[in-house]
Amino acid sequence: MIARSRQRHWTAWNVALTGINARPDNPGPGCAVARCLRQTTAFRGQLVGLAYAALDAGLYLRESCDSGHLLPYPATGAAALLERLDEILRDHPVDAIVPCLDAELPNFIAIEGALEQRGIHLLLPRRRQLRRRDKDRLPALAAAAGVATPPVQCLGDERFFDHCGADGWDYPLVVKGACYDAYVVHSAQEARQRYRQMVANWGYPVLVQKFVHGDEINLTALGDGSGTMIGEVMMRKQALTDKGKAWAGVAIDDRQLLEAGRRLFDALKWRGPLEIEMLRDDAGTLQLIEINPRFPAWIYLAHGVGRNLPAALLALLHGARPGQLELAPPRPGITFIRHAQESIVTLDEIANLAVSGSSSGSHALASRAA
Amino acid sequence: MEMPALPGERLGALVLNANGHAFDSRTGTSYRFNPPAQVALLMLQDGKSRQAIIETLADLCDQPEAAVEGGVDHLVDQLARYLA
Repeated sequence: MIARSRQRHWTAWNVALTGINARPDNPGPGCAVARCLRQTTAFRGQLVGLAYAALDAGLYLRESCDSGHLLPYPATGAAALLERLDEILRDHPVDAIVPCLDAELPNFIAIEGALEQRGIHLLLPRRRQLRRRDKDRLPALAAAAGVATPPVQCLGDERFFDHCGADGWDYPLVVKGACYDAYVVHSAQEARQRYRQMVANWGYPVLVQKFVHGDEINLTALGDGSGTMIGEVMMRKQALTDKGKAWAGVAIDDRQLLEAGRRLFDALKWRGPLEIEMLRDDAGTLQLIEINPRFPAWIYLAHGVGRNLPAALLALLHGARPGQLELAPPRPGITFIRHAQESIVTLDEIANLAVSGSSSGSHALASRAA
Repeated sequence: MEMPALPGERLGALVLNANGHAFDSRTGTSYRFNPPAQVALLMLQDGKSRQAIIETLADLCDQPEAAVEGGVDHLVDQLARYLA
């Protein structure tokens, strides 16, 4: 495949995005990343949406993506992903890909070299960096970064919940999947139910973490592999969905969180977007809960505070240095409030996607905001 | 009478607007301050003493100091709780 020209400015790049579902209780970040890029002054590239399910909203939202395409599930492997991407890119060439989901990252990391040979830019962590922030390895990373974190362990047997109190694991506890979902459980019966649910949905391992009571505050930023944290945006959740996702949140300026973020970025030498989830416990100590290896679903707040991190990511991929990025000073007090809206999709669009695996309407350019 | 110690950095993170809305830029929490409390907050952020605040408010509100000091102490207690 002919390598793409590297001379075009990133504002003219075509960009592929994943994570374009809009599930109300746990939306993917992709549509918000698309909104950030659409809001970028002078951005005129095409956005190519990549999804795993026919009802992922970004496949049909032309204000988000100019075209939508189905991918094989991550479990089918890296080779299947590359084959499908080559198919899509034949008609919808792109200059960069921004993966927005945890489960697909290992496959994208595996084919990063092949994609770069095709002239496609990505900023991805190394496999060992990805592994270092796995939920079951957080205590080691937290120790290296000088950050507190509640104990966590992998479970292979749900009978753990019957005697966990004797081992110092008192209820409530948090039962978590390796990539997705977390539930606070208050009894052995509830814990076993959630454990089985996790296994059925996501497989093994299932993790249990000690529960910390407090306000959840999150930080998102970019890393360029040097250990520097770039463009940090901090947020406190104000309204939560049943799954604990932020429905509303306010930008904050928390020095402790900032310093913890710096230490974690330095410990990881992270490449790409990152989200750090922390809780300030009742004693005032910041506890590291999770590190997500991609943009968060609330990333549109970054645009709201003048730190459009998806745009900054493309600028970094184009060769900009961190000091050259247009990032406003922190703006605490800016609030985001999420809302759901319905999109009308015709039978023809659904059928076309089901048969061809792609959706792209002739009205695409007309409906996209200038 | 001694005031409870208020953490300076936490006090400084409160941003007050002209309508009495104060935003804690560190925690994202918002508060409402009535007019005398707004004066007291600004004086606290300036490091003024309890007595100075009482005297200022007594003068501004044309009230005896004895009537004012209870309100000042109550405000400081609340701030100490919320900013802890």
